[in-house]
Amino acid sequence: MESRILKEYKDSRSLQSQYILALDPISTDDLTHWECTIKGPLHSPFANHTFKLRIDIPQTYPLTTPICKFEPFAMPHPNVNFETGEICLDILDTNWSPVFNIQYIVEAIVWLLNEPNFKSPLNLDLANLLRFDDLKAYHDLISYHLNNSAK
Amino acid sequence: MNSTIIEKLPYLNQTSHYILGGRSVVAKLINTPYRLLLALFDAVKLQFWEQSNTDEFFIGQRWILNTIGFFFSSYGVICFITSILLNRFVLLSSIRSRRSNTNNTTILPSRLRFVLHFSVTLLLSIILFQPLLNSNLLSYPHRLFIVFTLSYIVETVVAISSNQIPLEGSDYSIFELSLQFYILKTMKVNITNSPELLADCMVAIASRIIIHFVEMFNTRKSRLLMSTCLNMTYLGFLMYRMSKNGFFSIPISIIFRHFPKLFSLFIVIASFTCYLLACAVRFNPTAFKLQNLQDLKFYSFMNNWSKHLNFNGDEDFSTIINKLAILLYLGTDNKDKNLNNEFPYVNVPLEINKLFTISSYLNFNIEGDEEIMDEETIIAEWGNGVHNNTSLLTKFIKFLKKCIANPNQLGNEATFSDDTQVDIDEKAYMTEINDTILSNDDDDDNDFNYLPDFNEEENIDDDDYDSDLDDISQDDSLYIMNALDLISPNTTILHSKKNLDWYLSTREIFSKHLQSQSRLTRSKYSTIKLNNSSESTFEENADDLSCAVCKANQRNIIFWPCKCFAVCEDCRISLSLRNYNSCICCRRPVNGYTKLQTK
Repeated sequence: MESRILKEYKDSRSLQSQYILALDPISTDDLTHWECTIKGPLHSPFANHTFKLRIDIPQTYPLTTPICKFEPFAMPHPNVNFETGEICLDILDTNWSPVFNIQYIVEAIVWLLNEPNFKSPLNLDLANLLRFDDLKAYHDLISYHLNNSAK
Repeated sequence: MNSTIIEKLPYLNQTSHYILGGRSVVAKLINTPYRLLLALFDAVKLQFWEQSNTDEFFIGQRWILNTIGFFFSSYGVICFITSILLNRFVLLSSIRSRRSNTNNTTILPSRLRFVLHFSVTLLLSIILFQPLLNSNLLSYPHRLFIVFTLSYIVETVVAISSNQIPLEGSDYSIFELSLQFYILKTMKVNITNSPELLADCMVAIASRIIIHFVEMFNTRKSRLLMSTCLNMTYLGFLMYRMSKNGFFSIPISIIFRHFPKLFSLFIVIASFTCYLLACAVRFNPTAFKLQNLQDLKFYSFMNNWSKHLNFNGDEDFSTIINKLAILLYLGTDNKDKNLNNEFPYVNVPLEINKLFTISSYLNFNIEGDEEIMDEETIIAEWGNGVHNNTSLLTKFIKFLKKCIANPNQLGNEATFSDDTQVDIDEKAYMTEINDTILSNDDDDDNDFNYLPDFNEEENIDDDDYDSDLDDISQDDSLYIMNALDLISPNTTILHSKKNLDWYLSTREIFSKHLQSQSRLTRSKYSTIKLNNSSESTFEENADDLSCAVCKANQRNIIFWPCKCFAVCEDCRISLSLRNYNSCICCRRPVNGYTKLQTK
């Protein structure tokens, strides 16, 4: 497990991505807690906002999934629990494979911001807006929440 | 006045003791201080015993007094003197042997050694049989202890004089015995009242006799055998007493001395029983192979346990049994502790009885699909059958019938099938092409004008054979139609998955042929393939062939049927323990794996 995380840490130093602004362990002494800053994808209601992710890596990693959460918790997204920041993503649950790494997970979360899935919602209001194709209300509600939390 | 005091206190009357006889001045000068000292010593001794027997002490004080008393008791003094003597001997011998390293000359002639050992053995035997002959055993511990120390001295001196390591018993050391006898004396326990104690003493003597016997006849190697017999007899006796009178009837010194042996013996027996049970589980009467047992974690240990123990035969029983128990208890976990680092870090199961397989990551190599299906149904049958005994019985009878019907096939199930290499001769090659075309014609709308799009062909990912099956057959139809002209169609229609797989494996050759301008020969095909593979696969992974899971070891496992080459042996095992059944790369179900020999 150690060598694997060390390798990912090494890779994260040379990480260049459009949406991942920072991917760092909270302390270099303990590589099991990571913090990540991502940028909202361009053509989504999350554009021009940055979000913080908290990643906790269990001892059994990579055989079991890391625990990923949005850190400030007030994240308006159909697949994110608004209260706790919990993320509903298939690769973080049943479809986990040990070949995925932290960077891959973060990229998947960025992708999730762009393409929400209303079939497995954690935020029912937003998911229902999306289900009935009320995109304007969906965008407005998200930007309302985001601007609210920014203040 | 003086005479009355001396009469009252007899310890002051030391006139009968003297060093020098006669009535000379010198004799008086020497004898008077001697008598005074003796009187003082006796007075102190008497006072001490009187004091220690009264009840005016706390437990702690009594304990301290007893401890001090030990150093002045005859046992303590003898033990002290003997240990100093033996220590000097050993030190002296080490100096001497350093001087004369080359010549192993013995100082004592062998006849003298024999006589010394024999005399001590005689003494020991007298002591051994004394409790059986007469009942007057008040000074028995005393005599026993003296003979015991004598035996120690003789053994050490003789062994060292002949440049050997003296044999010692780990159960009974002089110090332990002296302490035990002293405590028995202070507690006023008569040794004859307790058969366990008496037997303990006799075992101590017998163990010394064994040592001398072995030394006399120069058969050190047989000591362990004798010691084992003796100890087993005594432990049996102890067990009998324990079952008769209860655990606490046995004196605590004996529990301390012999319980570790009992406990070790228990560990050893339990471990061996577990191992035998594991062997029984592995035992396959239809196809007996030693390999089945080789997968067991303790296989190498059980085969080489005497080497692991590293014994010569001149150790005594308790040393060996404790060592064995420790080895068994530590098992394979303490790789770092250097005790048994010859165990491999991960024990690779070469082959496992399929009835116990949970994850298919444990299947070595590919097997025929039908066989796997069979085993799955068997597992399912067993799983269902567990719930009600009657159906289990019927299933078992069915299973037995199956075994009887074709025992050879059952034996083969455990091994990987030999026909993984498909014989490709030209006739089979062509007939199979025809058959696939024939079966294809039924499904498709015979569009012969369809021209294969080569670019699209290239886009088809190698991983997606199953989904793109129809496209492939259409693309290849042009070439295959040419082949049809040459060969008359054969009527056997091949629906089985095996043949389909074979057909799919030839697909690449077809596509290469379609792309190449001239006739494709084997050498041309191999060069094309070599170039392509070096371009496509090795470019991305050229620098990193480390395992995708742990990133520490080199990859050496290929999963079948998806052919993903991503993990190492250790990770395969840890994945299989977590019941992964699909490939970690492509998520397709895994039937088995092949291990590559890297380096």
